Formats: sequence, C-alpha cells, structure tokens
Amino acid sequence: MKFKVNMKNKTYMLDIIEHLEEWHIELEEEDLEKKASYIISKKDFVELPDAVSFIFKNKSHVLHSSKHGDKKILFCKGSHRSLNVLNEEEILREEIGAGSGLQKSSSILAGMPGKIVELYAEVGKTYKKGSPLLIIEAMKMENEIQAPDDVCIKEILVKKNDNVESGERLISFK
Amino acid sequence: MFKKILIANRGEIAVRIIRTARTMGIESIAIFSEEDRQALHVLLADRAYYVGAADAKESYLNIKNIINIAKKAKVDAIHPGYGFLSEDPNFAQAVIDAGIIFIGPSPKLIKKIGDKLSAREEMKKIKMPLLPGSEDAIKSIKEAQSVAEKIGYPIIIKATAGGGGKGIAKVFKQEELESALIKCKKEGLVYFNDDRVFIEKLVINPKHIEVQIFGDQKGNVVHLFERECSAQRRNQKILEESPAHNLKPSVRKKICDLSAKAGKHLKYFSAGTMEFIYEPHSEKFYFMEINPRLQVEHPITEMTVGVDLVKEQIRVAAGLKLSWKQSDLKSQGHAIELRICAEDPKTFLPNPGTISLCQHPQGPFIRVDSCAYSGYCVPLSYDPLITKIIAWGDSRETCIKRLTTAIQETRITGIKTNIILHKHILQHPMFTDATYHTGFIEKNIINKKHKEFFSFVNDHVFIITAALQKLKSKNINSAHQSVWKNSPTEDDF
Repeated sequence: MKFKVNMKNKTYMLDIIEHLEEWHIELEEEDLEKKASYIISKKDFVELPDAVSFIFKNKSHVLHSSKHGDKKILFCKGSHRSLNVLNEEEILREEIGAGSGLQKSSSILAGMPGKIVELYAEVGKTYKKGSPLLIIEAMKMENEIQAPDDVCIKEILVKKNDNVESGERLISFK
Repeated sequence: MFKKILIANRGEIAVRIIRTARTMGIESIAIFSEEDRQALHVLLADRAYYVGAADAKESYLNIKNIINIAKKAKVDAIHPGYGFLSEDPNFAQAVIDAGIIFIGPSPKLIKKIGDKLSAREEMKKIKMPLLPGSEDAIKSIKEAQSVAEKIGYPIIIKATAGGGGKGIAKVFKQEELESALIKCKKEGLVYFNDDRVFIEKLVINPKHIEVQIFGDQKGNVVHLFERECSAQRRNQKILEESPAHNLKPSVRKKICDLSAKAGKHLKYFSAGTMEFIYEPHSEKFYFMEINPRLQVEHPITEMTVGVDLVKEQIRVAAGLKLSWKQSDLKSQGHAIELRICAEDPKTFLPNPGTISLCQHPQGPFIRVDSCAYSGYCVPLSYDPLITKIIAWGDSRETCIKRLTTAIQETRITGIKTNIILHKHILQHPMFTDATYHTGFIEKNIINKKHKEFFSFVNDHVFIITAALQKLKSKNINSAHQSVWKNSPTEDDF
C-alpha cells in the first residue's frame, strides 16, 4: 500500500507491505535516489489509547498526536513535526485536483489558537499582498495575518472577539 | 508571623509561593479566573476563590475583586508574585489601605523606581555608571534630534514607565528617529498609561547582568550576587545563569557592592533586582533599571546562595530583621535556569492547548518549578511560561551537563514547547564558552537555519508512524465495512 507524506516541505513516498507479523516498508524521499528499507515488527508499533509506542532501531519512542487543520502534529521527546499523510485514494484525488488547478490555497487558516481582536477584511473587497486582514491574539502576543497574495475576499468565517482553534479556516478568497 | 496569605498571581510562581508558605506553616489562599479552574495553584492552595473572567483585566489585574477576596478570607498579607500587579503602586497602596500587609516594597518606592527617569536621578546621587542620554523626558522631535546627535547613533528610546520589552525602540540613523519616537510614546500610553520617553546610547550586543538585592524595614540591605540573562529574544529572557561566567572578580565585586549601596540609598526593603548593561570588551557596566519584585529567575540565586527568597520576603514583610549579614552570603558553584514555554520553537507563536503527557526531569541537583501536568489545558489568555528547569553544579560545565541530561528527559507532548531550542542553546559554542550576548538567540540560533534543529529524533520515526497510523485507521474502517456487508440485509430475509 502506498502513502505520501509531506513534512518540512519535503515529500516522502512509502510503500508498505503488510505481513502477518511485520510490515515491510520502503521509504523514498522524492527527488532523491536514496531509499531506506525497514522491517517493523507489529510488536514494535503498538497503538495505546492516546499514544503510539514505537521501537525504532532498538530505541523506544512514545508519540502523541494532535491535529492542526488537515495536518497532523506528532510529538516525541522534545521534538515535534507537522505532517500531511495521503493514502492511495487521496494521492489519486490530489493528482486529479492538481490537473484541474483546484489545488491552489484559497483561504487563510489560523496559525495558532487565539482570539480575533481585530478584523480589517471585508467581504467583496480586494487587498494587496501583505496588507493586514486581521489580528489574532494569544498569550499576550498579537499576530497580524496579512494577505498572502493580491486577493479578493469571498467569505469571512469569524467575527471579532471569536475564539478560534489552530488550523481553523478564517477567510476564503475568490 | 502571618497565619494566612493571599497569592495574587497564577501559574508556576503561585505554586512556588504556596510551597514556601506551607513550609512556614502559613495558610495559602489562591485566586483563579474562569480559565484557571483546573490550574495547579488552585489545586494546591489551602483555599481558592474565583476572582473573575478569563481576561486578566477582569481577574488577576482586578484590584477591587482581589482586595474583596482578601478581606473575605481574612488574610494577613498579599504576595503579588511577578508580572500582573506586582509593580503597580496603586495595588500596593490598596492592599495597605485595606489593612493588609503587602509583601514587597512600599508603594512610594515602587512608584519612584518604576519611573525609569526618577530611578536614573536617584542613581546619579551615588555615582552609579549611567549611559549617556537625555536628562529629562523628551518634549519634541527637535530635542530628540539634538540629544541623538550629541551622544551619537545608535540610540535607544525608552518609555519611562516601560517594561517587559514593551515601549522601547532602537534607532540606528536619523531617518528612523521620528517614527520610533511616535511608536514609543504610543506604546507607553497604551501599555503603561504614560507617554513620556527618554533617550539613551545603545550598546551593541551587550550582556545583561543583574544583581539580586534584599533589604529589611530596619535599613539593612545586602546583595545576593549576580545573574546573567543575556539569552533573550525580543527583550524576553529565556535562559539565565549565576554567576555570570568570565566576569572578572574585580568587576563582579564592584557591580555587586554598588547594587547594595543603591539599595541602602533607596532604603530598599524586600527583594529587588538591579539590572545592568555590560560591555565585555571594555569591562564597563551601566545601570539600566530596578525591578521592585521577585524575578522569574530567582531560583538560580536560591541554588547558588542556598536561601529561600520567598521565605525572606515574607519574613521582612512581617517586620523581622534580615536573616543574613553580607558576610554570611557566599555564592557557591553554578546554576542555570531554562524557561519552558508553550510556543512554537521556530516561529515563537504561542501554542496553548491540552498537554497529553508531561514528564518532568529528575536527578541530582535538578529543580523544577512548574504549573504543568498531564491533561492540563494551558489557557490562551496568559503568559506562555509553564515550567522552569533549574540545575546546579559545582562548576559551570557540570551544571550544563546535568541540565542537558534533564532536558533530554523532559517530555511535554500535545502542545509545542521550546524544549528543542534549549537543547540547541546548551550545546552552542557561544553558550559553552559564555561569549553569548543579548543578540545571540536572534542572530546565532534562530536565523542560522540549523539543519539539525529538529533532528534530535530521527525523521523516519515520524514519517513511518504517520503512515502506519493511517494504514491502521483504514484497516479499522474496512473491518467495520466488512462486518456491515456480512450482516443480514433485507435481501437475506
């Protein structure tokens, strides 16, 4: 079974063959010839109620995950990574989508949980790249969200003083 | 001694104060906002009172509500912690007016030294080294220009009431002066309700050194040696150590003695900190400001000097004589504190949320001051500081090794923290040889796109985990589907 993982602006292709007691994994970084092969025993990858216990190269890792929009964040020891995982079906859908040009990001997501303290954007108006659209505040820090490109506002999904979750859709563009 | 004290604060410092109160046999009263019902200080205190809505203005900054609770709970004294109302002379006055003792300096003193210009004025009287700058508040852009030309660029504009990195602006050339002046005045007005600003010469890449001072109400004042807090980002400290490494013994003695002298001159009582700018190549130091409160980084002094500063604050507030003479105090070994914050270590965006797993480090000479626990939801209305990890060693090297081991053990998952940033700092050559300065974090840690910044755990662990989780969830779905398919449908009847 094939999977496509995006992490740190890199794409990885995985081919996982499930056997009775283990998985055979081929891991390939896109645009790189290098391939890594692993055999992971099912005993070494166990899903606990709220975590994953993973013995990798004889080292124990306990991973916790949380969601950020359509991304997954995995925490392990002092580190964390944001990843996007696609299965075969989703890879196919993505390829079709890419062909018709529907892939372009057309909205702004909240980069952190917080409260909308200012809302400058108005529906139907156009804004130049870099102009402020709104301000989110969390933990005494204000974060100005700017237009990622020259944009026209299609819809605003939040109001001033709303609390938003990380990854929540805030504004969509035409 | 007091029977009951109220802690007008939250987070790790409230927990810290409760602990000392308990060892002294004093009952501790906590206050909490809507967002803090599950906070550790509320769970640990002897009693807890609801103070107001999540917004700090309604709760931890709400003088009226806090005083009312203090009266209702019949407390003898109030400890303000740091931040929030700790440096507000109006709060200290309101506490005293309610017939309660304020654990901290007098409102008059807080007011006098909270104003940076009047603090400078006082320091002149004892010949404290000051940076060249304006004598008074700047009245016009013309005046600013002439001061700037006289002392030469670069300069720094400061709001006289400023603090916490707000209300300051660095100016490198004349064209930037006017907009910086306007920005500073505006920030001063918005954050501190005072738009007066003044100008000082800017020292490039200095070290930040501060001296802990302590006084009682009988006029005794001592210093408890220095701390170095040069690891900063946007004027927010993130790592502190004591003593300041590479500081010549003669310079160290001078800076500490002058600080105690300043304390005596001001008739300072309770805990205070004298902050300085230090220029390593010239070995010159300049007075910056006085903080009339307990500092976040007070534990490193407690570790090296072997004292409990909160206990002493409570004792002198009760009118007792200072426990130590200057000659009793010795700084021994080395201590470093790391501030663990709920924020993205790369973008520094806050990351409140629920902690899934929280494992604090343990081991010899490790101290953890924290308000975090597994399942705790870090609220979004307050400061991102959740944990301080402090290590002590007989040498700086041992201390760094212990701290590195400790941070490797620390597990906080579910929210992003700056743990990984600390791992980087601790092994950076500029930190290990102690040549780092206040520009170090921004220049040498963040902007240097360290390839290995996130490589403490193998990338493949994350990639494979993500893929296998997806594979397994798919299996569950298809298993459900197959059960459904095999179950009797209408056709089977």
